[in-house]
Amino acid sequence: MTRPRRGTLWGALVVLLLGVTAADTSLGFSLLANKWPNGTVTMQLQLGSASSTLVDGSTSWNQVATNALATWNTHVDLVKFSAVQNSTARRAENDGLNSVFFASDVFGEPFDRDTLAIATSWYRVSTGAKIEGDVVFNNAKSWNSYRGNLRTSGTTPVNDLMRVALHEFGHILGLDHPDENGQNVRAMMNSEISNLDALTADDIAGGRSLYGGGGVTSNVSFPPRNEPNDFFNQLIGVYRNELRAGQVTTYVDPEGIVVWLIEYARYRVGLCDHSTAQTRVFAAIDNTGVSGVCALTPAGTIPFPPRNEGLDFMTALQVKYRDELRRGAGSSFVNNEGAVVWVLEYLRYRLNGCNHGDATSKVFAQIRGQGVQPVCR
Amino acid sequence: MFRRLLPLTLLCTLVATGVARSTTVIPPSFGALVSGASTIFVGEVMNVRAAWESTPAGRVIVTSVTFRVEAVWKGNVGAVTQLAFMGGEIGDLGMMVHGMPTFRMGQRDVLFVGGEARRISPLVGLMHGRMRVERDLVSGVDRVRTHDGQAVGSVTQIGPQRAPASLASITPMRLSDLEGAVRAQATAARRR
Repeated sequence: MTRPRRGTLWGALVVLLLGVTAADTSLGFSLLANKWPNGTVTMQLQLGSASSTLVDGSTSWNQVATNALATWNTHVDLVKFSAVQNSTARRAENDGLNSVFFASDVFGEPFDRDTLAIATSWYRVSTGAKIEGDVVFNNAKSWNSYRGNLRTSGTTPVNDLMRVALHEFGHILGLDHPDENGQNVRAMMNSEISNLDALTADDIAGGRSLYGGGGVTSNVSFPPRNEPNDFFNQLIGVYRNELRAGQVTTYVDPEGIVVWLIEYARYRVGLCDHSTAQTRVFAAIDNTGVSGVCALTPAGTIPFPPRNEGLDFMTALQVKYRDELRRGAGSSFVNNEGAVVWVLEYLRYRLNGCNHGDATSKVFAQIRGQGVQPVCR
Repeated sequence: MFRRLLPLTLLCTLVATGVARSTTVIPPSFGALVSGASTIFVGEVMNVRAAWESTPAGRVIVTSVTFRVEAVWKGNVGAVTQLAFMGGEIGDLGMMVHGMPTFRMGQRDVLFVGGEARRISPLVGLMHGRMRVERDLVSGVDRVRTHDGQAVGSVTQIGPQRAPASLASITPMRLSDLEGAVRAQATAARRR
């Protein structure tokens, strides 16, 4: 067996990194700094009736908004929207009422020509607790309610109130735009309106991260622990014998590395963000509870988190073992980066149809400079 | 070796990191940004101050941002100017207009200011009329990013057709190139 050339390894890693960063597989809804206290958020619907039946069969704008609120309600537990139909409440800012209505201005200030709708929130700075959320739709625009691709009438866009309402109510809940915060995900909460007409897994994961009631049972099966442990032991051999790696200090034993990286990956594949996943793994280490994942993993190729976040987790795990669990220093031929990169890569193959032997071979082929291998389905 | 690759990874993944929050806005094209602006200038934030303001719909918080004007590319504006944005924080109460840009002292921006006297945002396309200026610490060259921090390689990448974060340019265009494009666009519009 020949030792891989350094340049080949570099090339393989660069290709791998670029492939990972360019793929639309990262997960990461984005949250605002404020959220509602648990309970009911009552929206005053003042959108009125449509002049004729809408494309999707709705007979009023309020009905469309009600459907959008109900859609969010199916995915959150700790907060629920309720709707006051045909509310006659005064439309005002900072009045404690959550108003939803059409207007040509936003509480006295005119819309600009590019804006379809505006959401505003009031909150306590000290606690981040929301106390009011209003949504104003621009009545200078053409509206309907339909599914499917965006429509036009001649050259004039016909805006779909349903998808815009889903988006704005997402802001009211406390969700931000993932695409404006470094994410590349398919989401209704992205900043730009598109042909997407329903909430996605990322939107739902965001809502559940704010108001989920303890998580859900993962729909992804991870391999039995003895197999990733076997993989990691073989990896140590490759680092020591082929890569001639020197020993590095570690406070986490090999089994701990494998077990907790698997748990971290389980939460990430279950659509938890980095912070939530780390918190839940550490809770398990501390024996303060095991949580479900944040949402069901969508069908298709199973996505994995960005590696820098996996490395952040591994670094925090080392600190936790050293400072909280008071573990002594040991040594390993596989450094943190290597553990994160290759254990997650092994799991990626396993979760995408490869058995233990195939996954191990594919990872080692990558290490030996043979590039990213195809998954097994 | 992975450690040495981390900067590349971070560059690739964080290149679009931003702070702006948005509502539903159709992003204006570069041409619409320029034609919709009565003034376009480069400014440095000197002061940010929130205050209560009475409107027919009740009291709202408005944040006034004072800019030291470095250069004027279109229209007329003094050496110091102020723009008012709905939203802000006073004491323990905050009002957020989702999508409204927020500013910090010392930030440098290119501002595309609309012509109407008052709107919820004085900028064209709400947040889209703000482009962020950053100085390359190595070369000293000023470069520009979109309101949410995404690099644009050229003005053709501004607007509804902009690339997703993963495909965006890594090296932002130079401020001087944006200035040239703005002036050319404004001149062409006058000729029409």
